[in-house]
Amino acid sequence: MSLSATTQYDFGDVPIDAVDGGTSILVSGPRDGGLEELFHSLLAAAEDDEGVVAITSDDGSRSFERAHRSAAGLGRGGDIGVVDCSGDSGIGTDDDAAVADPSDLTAVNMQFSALCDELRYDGTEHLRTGLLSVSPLCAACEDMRDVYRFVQNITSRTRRNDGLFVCAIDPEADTGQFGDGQNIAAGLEKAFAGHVELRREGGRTEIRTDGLDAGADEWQRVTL
Amino acid sequence: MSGMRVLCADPDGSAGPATALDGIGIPTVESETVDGAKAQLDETDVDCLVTEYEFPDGSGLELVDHVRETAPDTPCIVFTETPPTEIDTARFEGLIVEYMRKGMPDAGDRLGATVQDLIQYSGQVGYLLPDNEQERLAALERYDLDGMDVGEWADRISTLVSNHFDVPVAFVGLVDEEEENFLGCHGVDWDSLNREDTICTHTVLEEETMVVEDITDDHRFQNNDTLLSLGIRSYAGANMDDSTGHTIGSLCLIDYEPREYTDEELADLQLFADEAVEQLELRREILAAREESQ
Repeated sequence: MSLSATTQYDFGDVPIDAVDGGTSILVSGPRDGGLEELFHSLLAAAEDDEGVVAITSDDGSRSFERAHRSAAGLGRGGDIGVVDCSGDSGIGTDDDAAVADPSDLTAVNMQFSALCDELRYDGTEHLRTGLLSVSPLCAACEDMRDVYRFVQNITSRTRRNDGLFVCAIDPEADTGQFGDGQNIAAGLEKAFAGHVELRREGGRTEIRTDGLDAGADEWQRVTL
Repeated sequence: MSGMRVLCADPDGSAGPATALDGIGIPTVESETVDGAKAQLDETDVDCLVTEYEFPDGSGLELVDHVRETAPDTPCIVFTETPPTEIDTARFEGLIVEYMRKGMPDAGDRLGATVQDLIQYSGQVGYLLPDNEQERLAALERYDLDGMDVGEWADRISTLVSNHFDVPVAFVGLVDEEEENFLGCHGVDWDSLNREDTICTHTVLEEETMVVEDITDDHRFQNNDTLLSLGIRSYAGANMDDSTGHTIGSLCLIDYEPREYTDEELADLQLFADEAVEQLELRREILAAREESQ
């Protein structure tokens, strides 16, 4: 599908309709049930003029990029810029940056912003951005208001630049002092235009969307 | 955007962001030092801060920190050629700013567009916004009329509600763009609080009444120094939706101890909130009709 005057982001084999530029999506589900694979599938560039920048707080940038190439499939998902705040110091490529501690949202955000701008100045018109995942940031921060401001700033920039932002959360993951990840996911959902839920049911991986596809709120099987 | 004012802090004034913003019609105030900019922030209401990183007397992040302390919803942009890797964030880990490179060919135009967008869409607030925030604020603005003095009425209904539920504090709060304004209270004498500090900021996102049985067990509020310093421990709030369906604020109960509420009590609280917003709307309509007839 070619991009028309209105920027759209296509998700390949994932059964979710293409979304307009400026859309931010929350993806929630179990880490061991395909969350990472779904995240990378949504983030993978579908067109030559798309670029990808991501923040990884779960894994180091090398394994993040391996997972991205694997999930994105042949011909999709070229070089991506990564801000690594996982604490794993192995930096993958020149497009990557490291922040020692996920609690340093100031540095994570500025590095992320700078990488996005570099791609834009290099001629990338359409940018897919992502965060895998928000749980370690919650666990590391003292105040949820910092996390809200961090997310709002990225969703705001995404809308301003006609981009796509995909944010992953495992509601069962450790969020430190903040306890129940289910409540955090339910709250954060309100910062996003759409929500994709993932589950494993009877050996099948299924997704359900809210706010994205009209009438597509039923569980659908997905192959990741 | 009318009425907008941007504080531009840059040690090299003539080459700084103010020149670029003035060139596209965005009003600015300027400072070439951190201390001078802090004084400007204390003396003047500004809608956005654009700052260099390095100053002879400090760091631009000190200014951002000052803004977050005094006017937390104000968007901040670090506009610099210093790479993020060379910016010392050790003392400023929770500060969220937009980072933009100063030396790029179209940097001035992009800065102007970013400033306008961040202000218009509240792009750096520390809370979540309702989907219909712009329309909600427009609905709320309809109640900002000369002579719309509802203090006594709002205190009275707060007292009735406080007695009914046997709680020490009740209030009627309107959730405005950056603050919650308390129309009337019982048990306290609050005027306004920053929106990011209030529980009602979260209540207006909900369709049902909101209960926080113990704020020290709730991830949204457990480190909120403002709430803790006020001694607040539990909360129940019912939204006040006007006849156009927009939530303008909440009618709320506060206790200084953890507390639970039954479904029947919450249903009553919602009835009180419906009654309050109807009163408010009737008063607004009568006042508007009087003004029109004069």
